[in-house]
Amino acid sequence: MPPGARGVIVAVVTALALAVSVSGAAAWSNYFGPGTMYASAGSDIAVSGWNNWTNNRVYRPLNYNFYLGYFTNESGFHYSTDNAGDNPFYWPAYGYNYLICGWDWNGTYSSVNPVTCQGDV
Amino acid sequence: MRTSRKRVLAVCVLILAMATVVAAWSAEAQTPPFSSTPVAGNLAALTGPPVFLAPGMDRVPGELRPGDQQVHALGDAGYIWPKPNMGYCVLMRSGAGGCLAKFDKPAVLYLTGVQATSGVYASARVEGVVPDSIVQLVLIMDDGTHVPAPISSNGFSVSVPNGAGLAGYIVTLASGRSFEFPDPVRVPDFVR
Repeated sequence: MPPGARGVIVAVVTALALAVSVSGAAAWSNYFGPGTMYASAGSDIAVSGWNNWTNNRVYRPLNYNFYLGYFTNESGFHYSTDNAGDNPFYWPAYGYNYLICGWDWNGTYSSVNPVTCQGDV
Repeated sequence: MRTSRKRVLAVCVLILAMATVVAAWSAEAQTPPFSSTPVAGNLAALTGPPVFLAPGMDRVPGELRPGDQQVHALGDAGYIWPKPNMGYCVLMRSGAGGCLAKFDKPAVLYLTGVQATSGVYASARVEGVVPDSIVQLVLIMDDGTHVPAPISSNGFSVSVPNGAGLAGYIVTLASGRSFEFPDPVRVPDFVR
């Protein structure tokens, strides 16, 4: 149970409240970074704004496990976590509205940089 | 006297044989069980027949798609193709994938699934790709379950217990040597 996963729902709700819509964006949009993620709840995760996303990907240094996900009202959170042997790491989103990009920090490092989370429409 | 010499000779031969065995064992013990392996030249799947119809390729980010490059099957687990300046890109059956030029670990893998808003997990699966040097793989889940992951054309794709993360795996090399490789991959908890 990665501590980094905490607060995703809160983050989604926050994104809703802030009306962070990037509807109409073409091709890849950065919804996080390039920047640093930290090993603390809330600083280790990014959630995109509303859009009909088709793809989700993250660029980050090797050996830092990340998970990617999207949310559907019907079935919940669809995720993929990797063992950080690739870059970028991608996971489709099938036209759903929220993308999630999180660092699964395991206590080895306090931060990871650079991280870029991108969504495609 | 002659019998005594024979005994001494036999003991010497025995000691020499034991020393040889111990030296060989020691050398193997000191050899790193897995060293960084480039994808190029170490993936038989890349020499297999090209695949002309790869379902799900539309899930791959546009500029990472194969273009003019040949796509090869990773058994039934997914596909791999060369991507200039990025090494090789893979698409697993679930839709997960990435690009890699080398294996720093015995496997590049993806743990996928679904978590309902109630917190219940479903459809958990581990998929991935291994170099030719890996001939057997058994996943060790963090709930203690061992899940054999049959390798076919460098790929594997197996169902795993829902909600369980990966602790590591037991790898068997083509040489016959087996070892355990810790590689924790945790399951995200979105509703905690």
